[in-house]
Amino acid sequence: MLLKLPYLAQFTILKHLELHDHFFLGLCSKRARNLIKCFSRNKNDSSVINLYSFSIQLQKTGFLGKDVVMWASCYYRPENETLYRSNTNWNRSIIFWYKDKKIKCKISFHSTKGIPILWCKDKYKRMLPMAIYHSICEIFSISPIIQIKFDMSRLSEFPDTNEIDNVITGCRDKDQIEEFLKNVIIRNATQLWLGSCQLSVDSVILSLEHALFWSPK
Amino acid sequence: MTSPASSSEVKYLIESSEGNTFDVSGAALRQSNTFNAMFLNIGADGPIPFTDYNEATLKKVFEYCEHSVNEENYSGPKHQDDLSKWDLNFFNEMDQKMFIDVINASNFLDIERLTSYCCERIARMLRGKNTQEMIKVITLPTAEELEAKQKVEEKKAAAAKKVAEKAAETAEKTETLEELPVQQLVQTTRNKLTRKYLSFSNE
Repeated sequence: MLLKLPYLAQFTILKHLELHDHFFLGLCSKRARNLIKCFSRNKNDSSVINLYSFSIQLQKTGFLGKDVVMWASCYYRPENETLYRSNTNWNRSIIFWYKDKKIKCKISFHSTKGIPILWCKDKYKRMLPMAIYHSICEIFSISPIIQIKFDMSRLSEFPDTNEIDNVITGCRDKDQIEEFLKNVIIRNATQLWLGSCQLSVDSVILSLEHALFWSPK
Repeated sequence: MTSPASSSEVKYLIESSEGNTFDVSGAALRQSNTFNAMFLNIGADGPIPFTDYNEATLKKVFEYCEHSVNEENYSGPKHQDDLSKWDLNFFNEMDQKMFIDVINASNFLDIERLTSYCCERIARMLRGKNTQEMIKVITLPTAEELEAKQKVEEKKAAAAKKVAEKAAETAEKTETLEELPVQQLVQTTRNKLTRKYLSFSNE
């Protein structure tokens, strides 16, 4: 129906829809994806994987990111329980592919934010954000620069990637971040909240380029 | 009949794709920017042809125009909750096909208010849905349906190929059949003639 309408009408309809509606619509078919691509051109510059809120955000330079979709796994977190219990309809599902793995997700909607939450099995909890991220980049025609916001305490849920472009992270343990930097390459900028950590001169952290450190000391 | 006068009493004749004509008031037609640009100042002799749209669609569009004649000038989209009871009934009566037709017609006629409300209604149908539900709303074929459709097309192509092959075979056969009787005819006439000749010579 939507694809048979005139161009202006299609754009008027899309204006009334939210970002997550555009995302789901873009997953419907190639023609629908092209329509969303055309509509969202120059509206967003990049996307962010936010592990603080477990959401993927779309960002325009100079503005805060807007949540598109959240993800959650069966891995227990107190907030997961409230999110899980607030949903009653578990009939909706969606399938993503990442590294030849089929990730089947159940869909619920956040009671206050109104955005969808994609629930996956625990073993896919690191793959799912990357799968969603790549889909979002494709649908919204955004360059696939990987930007991640996370806290070292949630390293077990860090997305399944060895290379990141930009990262904002917080850490209380210096060794933990040094271990992290051995496994992951940061290609562009790092913003690091060090807390009370004290860095030695030969620390790997100091070899980072375009780095900004925050510390109360 | 039609006239260039700008009085709201003036009626214009509209011709639909079926060739049927019906009256629409000048005031209602003036809500269409396309009409304003094309006919209002110069007038129209005879019915105005909107032959890309069927009668039901045009009547629906102009029914809305007639109703909203006395409403204030359109200033951006209204929230659906602010719509009057009449408006809600009007939109609820329409099915998906009618929505498409009405949007197409109102888009051509450039009736901003109607196009905007129809689009808002469709957006409402899509809002908060997941991919499968959206596919149902926008009536796109699912992957299974596409596969089934492909299979049917393959079967059709195979059947058409068989028919073509059979036709070619029968054509070849008829060619040989057509050749045979002529040869046979020649042969039989030759035989008859020789027999006659022989019998004549014997006599």
